[in-house]
Amino acid sequence: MQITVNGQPMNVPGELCLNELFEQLTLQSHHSIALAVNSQVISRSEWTAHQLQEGDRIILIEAAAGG
Amino acid sequence: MLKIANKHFSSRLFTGTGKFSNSQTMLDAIIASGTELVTVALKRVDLDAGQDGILAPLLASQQQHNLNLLPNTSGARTAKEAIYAAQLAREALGTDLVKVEIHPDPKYLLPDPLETLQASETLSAMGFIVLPYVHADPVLCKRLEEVGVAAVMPLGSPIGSNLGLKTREFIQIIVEQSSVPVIVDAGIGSPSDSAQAMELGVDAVLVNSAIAVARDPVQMATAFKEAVIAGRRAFKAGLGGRSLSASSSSPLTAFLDNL
Amino acid sequence: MSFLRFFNQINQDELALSIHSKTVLDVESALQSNRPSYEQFLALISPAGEPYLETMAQKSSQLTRQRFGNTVQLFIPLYLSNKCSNICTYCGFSLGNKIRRKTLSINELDREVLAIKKMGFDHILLVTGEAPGTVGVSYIGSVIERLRPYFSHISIEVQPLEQEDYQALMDIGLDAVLVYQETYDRTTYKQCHLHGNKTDFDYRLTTADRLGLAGIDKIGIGALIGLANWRTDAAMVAAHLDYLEKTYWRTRYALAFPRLRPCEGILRPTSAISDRQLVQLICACRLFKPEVELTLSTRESSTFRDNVLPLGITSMSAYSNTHPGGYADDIISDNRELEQFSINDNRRPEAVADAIRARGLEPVWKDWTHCFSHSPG
Repeated sequence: MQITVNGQPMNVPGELCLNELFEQLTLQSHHSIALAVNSQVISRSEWTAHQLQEGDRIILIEAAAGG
Repeated sequence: MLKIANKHFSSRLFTGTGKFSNSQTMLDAIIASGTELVTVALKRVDLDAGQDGILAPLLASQQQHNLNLLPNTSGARTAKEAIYAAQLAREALGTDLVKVEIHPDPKYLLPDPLETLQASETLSAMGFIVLPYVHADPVLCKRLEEVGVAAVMPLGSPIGSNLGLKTREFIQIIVEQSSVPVIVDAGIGSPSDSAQAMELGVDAVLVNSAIAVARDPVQMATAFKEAVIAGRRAFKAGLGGRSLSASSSSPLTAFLDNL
Repeated sequence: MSFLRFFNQINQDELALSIHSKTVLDVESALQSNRPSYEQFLALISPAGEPYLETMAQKSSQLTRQRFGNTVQLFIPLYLSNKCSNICTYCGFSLGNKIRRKTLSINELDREVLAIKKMGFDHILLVTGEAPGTVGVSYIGSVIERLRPYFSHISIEVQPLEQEDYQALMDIGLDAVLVYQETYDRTTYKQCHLHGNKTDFDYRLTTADRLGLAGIDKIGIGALIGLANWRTDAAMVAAHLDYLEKTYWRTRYALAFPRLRPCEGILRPTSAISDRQLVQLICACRLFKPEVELTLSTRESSTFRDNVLPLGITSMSAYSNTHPGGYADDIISDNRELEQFSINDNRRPEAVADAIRARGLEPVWKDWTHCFSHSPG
């Protein structure tokens, strides 16, 4: 199924939870990250239970330098 | 001691994390400043270029140096976007603190008062500890207080301008009227600016650019630390006035001698 | 949330000590400040401030002219009723006093209004004793309704009411409420208020909060000088004002400086404040709050009033008659039987206006008319 992650289209298997998607992204750091699906913030404790749907727009943010 | 919502701060200097050349200098400057509250922004993870590592050492030693993080909503142009950003920040950083910063204007980055008020009201109701970045507008600050913000952050001059306290008289009014802490944010270009702000009786100042872009950020951070302490001490000690012309005759009160 | 929470945190013994420990340096620093802090206000009312009276007066006068211009607002109190269910040791209306009680009927009002309008007044202060059964909210409401067409500003000095009552009265045309705590010292308060609703210190203290929540245009507060230590009471009034200004910032505030006067039922009060000290207090309040309205009543002598006027006073009553029905009958103070207290300045309104003009100030009878908040009469 087709989803987007931070605007990039991505093809993923039909049965996938947020946690599995996150593992696939192979980020250097797993800390200080937040995730939203279709503009709804999903807290980390719910990632396993949250199944992705066709067309979901995932946003992944991290802390950055700023004033 | 400064108290914002339920948090106590022994340092009245807050610092930003932007514009530093590298993460070690940033960390060293932050430690030298003695600050206990540092602002951070949020950005999308760049899946191709990888993550922004500049904050990594800071985030790793946050506990050790007693640093609280104050995520901002920079990049938001509307209340709706700011509320979304605040929720993401709470999730990412595990803090209820949020600096509501909404500037639709890309040139001077001046805050939008209407969107800021609206976002502050919603976020306060959602349990956030809201610190809104605003123009030095005394009425707006009172309105924000009424919707439950934990402090107000009026600007001294535009972000990054280093112009100092151009809003001095209005900051003075805000300090006089406010029931919540007043933190001067933006525009503080030198330690003397920060000392002047503290002498007015503001509760804290937030400094970023002036430290980050100094030739020696660590030395500059130390200078700001000392200036903020000096300014606060001067405020507590009570500044003397500039002149007092005593009048020898008593034209207005002489009548009392005859009563 | 109300002032009570702040009030209970203030140790008034320590406050008194703090006032008395102020030095000339504290006073000079306060005089040099553009916006004296609360601590600096304490210095201004302290014994150390007394020698600086002329400097304070100069500054107070200048600040008053800068903010209010060369004007003084005139108003007249209309005593509606001397019925009262309280026993207060300092007041002629006190329940225990054997005086003839009188409450103006709505029809009797017209005679008073006619007499008052003839004198030129446009701002009126309605005064009653505290007799909720006779002069409760509905009575006060009827009076305001009846008077609204004749006066552009109506204020009341009656028993403390509930927020909803104030809102209802504001809808009819109420502009301002004066409610004086008399004294902020609980012990003295208890000794002076022996019977009736007024014995409830806390309910009275939180009246200004209820008014602020109702969104009233103006609140007047103050202490009755002569009951307790005037300096401590003044410091409490200032703390109360500071709190109110910060909390209900859309409202305007007024302070008054009533000194105890002789009245039926009590002996001559020992004046706890000298004329000089009263001037010090008035000027200190002006320096502390340049925008606050300061009122001086006819309790003070004409000489004192005329001289203090330019120093910071912005509003004053004239030709007060505390006898209900007194204006139409033109009863001047020789009939003291019904009075709340005796008047010290008996001059007719025109004489007071002339005295104001003689000081280079303009007496103002009518300040402004409502255009937006409620329909003018």
